[in-house]
Amino acid sequence: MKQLTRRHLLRGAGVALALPWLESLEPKLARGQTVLPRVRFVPIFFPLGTASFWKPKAPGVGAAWQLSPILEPLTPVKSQVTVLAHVDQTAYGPMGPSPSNGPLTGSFLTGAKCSFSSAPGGNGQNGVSIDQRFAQTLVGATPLPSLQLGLSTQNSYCDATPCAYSRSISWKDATTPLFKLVDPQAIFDAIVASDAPIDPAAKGRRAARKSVLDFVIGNASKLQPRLGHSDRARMDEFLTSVRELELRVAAPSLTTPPCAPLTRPTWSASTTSVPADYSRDTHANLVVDLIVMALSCDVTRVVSLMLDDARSDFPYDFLDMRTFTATGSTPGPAGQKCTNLVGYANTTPTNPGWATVDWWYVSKLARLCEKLASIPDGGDASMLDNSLVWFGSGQWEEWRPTDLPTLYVGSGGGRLKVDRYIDFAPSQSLSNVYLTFLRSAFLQTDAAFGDSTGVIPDIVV
Amino acid sequence: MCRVKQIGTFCRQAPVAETTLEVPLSTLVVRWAVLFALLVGIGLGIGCNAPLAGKLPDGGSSGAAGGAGRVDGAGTAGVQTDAAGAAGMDATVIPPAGDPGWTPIRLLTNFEYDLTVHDLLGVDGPARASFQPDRRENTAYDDVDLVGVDNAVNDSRYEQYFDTADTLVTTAFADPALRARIVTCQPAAAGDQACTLGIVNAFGLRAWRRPLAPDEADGLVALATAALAEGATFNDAIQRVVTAMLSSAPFLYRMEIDPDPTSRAPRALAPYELASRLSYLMWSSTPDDRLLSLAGGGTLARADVLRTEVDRLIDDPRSEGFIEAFGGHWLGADAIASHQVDPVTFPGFYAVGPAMAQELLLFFAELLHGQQSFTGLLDADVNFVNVVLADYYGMSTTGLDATLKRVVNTTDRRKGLLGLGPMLITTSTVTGRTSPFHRGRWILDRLLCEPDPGFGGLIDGIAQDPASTFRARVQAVSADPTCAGCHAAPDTLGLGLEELDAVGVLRATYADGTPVDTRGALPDGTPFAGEAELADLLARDPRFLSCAARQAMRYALEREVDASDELALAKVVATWTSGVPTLRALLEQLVVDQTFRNRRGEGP
Repeated sequence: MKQLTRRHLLRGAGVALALPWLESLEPKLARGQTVLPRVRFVPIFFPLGTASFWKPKAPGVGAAWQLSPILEPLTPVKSQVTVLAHVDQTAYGPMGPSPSNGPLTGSFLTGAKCSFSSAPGGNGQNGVSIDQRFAQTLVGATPLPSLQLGLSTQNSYCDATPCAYSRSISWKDATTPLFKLVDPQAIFDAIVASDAPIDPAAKGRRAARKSVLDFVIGNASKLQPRLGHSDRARMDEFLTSVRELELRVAAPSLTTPPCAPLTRPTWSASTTSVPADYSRDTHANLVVDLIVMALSCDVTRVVSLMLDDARSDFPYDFLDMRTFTATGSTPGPAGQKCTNLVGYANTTPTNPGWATVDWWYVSKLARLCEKLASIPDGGDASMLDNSLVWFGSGQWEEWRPTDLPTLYVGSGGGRLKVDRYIDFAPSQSLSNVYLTFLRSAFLQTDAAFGDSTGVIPDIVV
Repeated sequence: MCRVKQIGTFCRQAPVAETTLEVPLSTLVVRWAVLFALLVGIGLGIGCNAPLAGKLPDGGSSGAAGGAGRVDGAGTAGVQTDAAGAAGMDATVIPPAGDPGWTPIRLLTNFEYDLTVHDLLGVDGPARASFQPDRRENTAYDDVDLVGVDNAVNDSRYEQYFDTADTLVTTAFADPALRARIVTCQPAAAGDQACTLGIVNAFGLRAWRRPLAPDEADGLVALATAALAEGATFNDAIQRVVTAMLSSAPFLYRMEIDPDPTSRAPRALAPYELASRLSYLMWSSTPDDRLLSLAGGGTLARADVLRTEVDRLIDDPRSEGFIEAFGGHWLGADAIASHQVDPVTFPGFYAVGPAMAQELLLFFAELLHGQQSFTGLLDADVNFVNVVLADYYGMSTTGLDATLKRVVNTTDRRKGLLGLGPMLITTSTVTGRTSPFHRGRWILDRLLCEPDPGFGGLIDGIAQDPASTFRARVQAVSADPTCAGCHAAPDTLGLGLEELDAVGVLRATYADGTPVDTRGALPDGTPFAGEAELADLLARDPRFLSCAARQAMRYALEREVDASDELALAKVVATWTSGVPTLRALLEQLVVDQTFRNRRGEGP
């Protein structure tokens, strides 16, 4: 039986004739699955493009392609990896007008062009991001529509563009960046407070929260008619936001067998304070584990993560330098540490320090993927099988919007092709990748996304 | 500074000198019309700023979205202003003198939120650290932003408010002493609501900055009653009520509710509205019990009471709120806190950046609390340094330790505000080049209120000829007729500060060994050499005090100072400068002025 939902039919009705790929709405089941998988989407961003040693040697499938030196940490999950080359931020034009780090980061998930003329202090003008477009289709299905996480403990530099470009990859709409949580304790609290089936005391708390929100709504509704028209519009925004939160508080939580709750991290780090024993590596591991917790407990199915902000000056001096060759990397020279990434990005792409930081980013991706691969998720499938972990940067090297380093892990429930390296030379649009995700992995009927021109059949099962 | 925000970046108009007390409105209209025509012409064909031509419409629209407005205020501005612009600036655009202006309801800024919850609960707020950043009003690089007047709530911001209220109130209630400040009684018997009502009204007055309406109080008592019925303790029930108050619109928004929002007739602020304006001006926080009781007693609006209260608020430690939000923001202390430079080229900067911000605040605080003329901002030869900062500045470190101490150092070439780090550093590029253009613009915009002639974007260009000296490369831009209009004045001014490098360190030569030339000139041609001479010149320039008053008025009114305010501003400046122009005297003048004490509805 076809598992077309009412939503698919409603969404599809207007455009069905124009869509040659309606068959993609037919659910694709992973090995041994008998129900439609719950697809998770985890876009992960890293800043400033990549050093050399990112690209695999030659395109191929299965045994015919090999991971590159920087991607080597993905070895245990290689069979779930697809690396893409010559994916471009086409919204910026063929060569791009030399946009700065901020816009190229802000548009990484939107496929839109961030307005260069926006006021540096404002929120800017962008587009909806792919994770938020997917989250819209899941409203009510999970306690949290989505989570936005990051690791930057600095108020990073914004290149004189709206800081939201540099610090937010998730955009609810063109003018609403969603700000990320950095503090592991705050992330934990957000997951737990969402009233997933983790905490038995949660039910009472939910009732209390709802009664408070009811009061807030009643109070604002009574004040609103006494205001002038502009103020009434402001109060409208307020009421909408409160009502949305109330809906979320009232949303039923689902029970999921693989839920693996953690205890509250003992350790806090934010843009205003980091502990004396702060370690970015520990921080990253904690956040990755919290992502696994949120996904396995079905608190949310959409999590975006910024491994660092667009142009952070964070010193990666906790990292021991590695030496890179065409075939791999080895520790050393002994005693040498990495420094800040923006410094590297101003040097040469073969800089081993730069490659080491990128290698470390990939190792955190690998940690996430390995954990997801270890969690059963219905039938023979693992949670990684049913996920789409998107990993990349908004530029190739500094300020170039073309040939972005990008890859995905997980087939989105058996719907996307994995274990391959595809080179789209001369050019493939980032927005087309997202449109393909939307239609083939997230089973939506959107006709377009960003500046897309069509889906990419090469990656669809 | 910019009087008609809705024209966006085009609106720059030269400030009116004090003598314009006698200038009829029609003269202003003509000036605007000429300026507007000029700017439209410039906007069409640009050499120097061509890459930014596309920026202009955006600048205009973001200006129109701005919060506060006058008769043609934000949101509604488009229709009337556009029509007026096309018709050559019809006189109806300019609100009548004496119009107290309309300001919308607005969310607390993150800074205000933190200070307010601290004063209400005794617990530190996390808004500055973790909330969405405040929106900023201005598009131009060197102008001062009106922070947060256009803050908008959205799902994630409201969730932050809600979760934070929950966390803060839980923290406060876990401390018996803090809890006792709110839970001032226990019910005599089950079902006794008098105690609950008393608590609700008392805390409500403080949290919502006005007495609660009976139905509001009843709703909150009902919330407590429901919690008790669910089995909550009395403390927990009150905790829920307090959380609700801190999650509600009357706490989160500064609200001045007009009896008839469609009427533009001026009205005196209600006493509690005045108390809030005063406390958020002077403290960036909620009115204290004394202000609330003066409001309740009906005497707050008296001029003598207002002056006394301004004095009291200044002398209270909470005036830090004013020092940081006004002084720090206007003069760049907050900008330096987030400024980044290449740590490889300037390894020492990150060790002193926070101290530089702190120094500026202490420098400003001395002017707020002292009896000296506000011109000391420019020519007081005072530094606040610790051992690291003194060393960085090249001063003697004798007797210094880790805390900032006041030192008088008349032997170096630094003097006053412009010798401190923030202006020098935040106007420089991250790559370590000074920008005479941005330094000049900063001084013209922020200290003299001399707006730039009108392009939407500011391009900090220098010629790319590597064989030339830095000075020659800057001057090549000013010499280009297409660029001179915007560049000549600021570049010539900023070049005089070249003895202070991109991270605020004195230098005699550039990195390549060529000597630094410190000659500069004011826009009227008055020459000077070096920062200290410029400081003395500016301190004697009457435009400085006039501009300081304009900046303070804009901050106090939380909206642009526009044409109808000119008379009031001129009066404030005249009275202020007739005696020793202390900062305290300026604030007293601004607060007793009708622009601060009155308001009107938005209009139909």
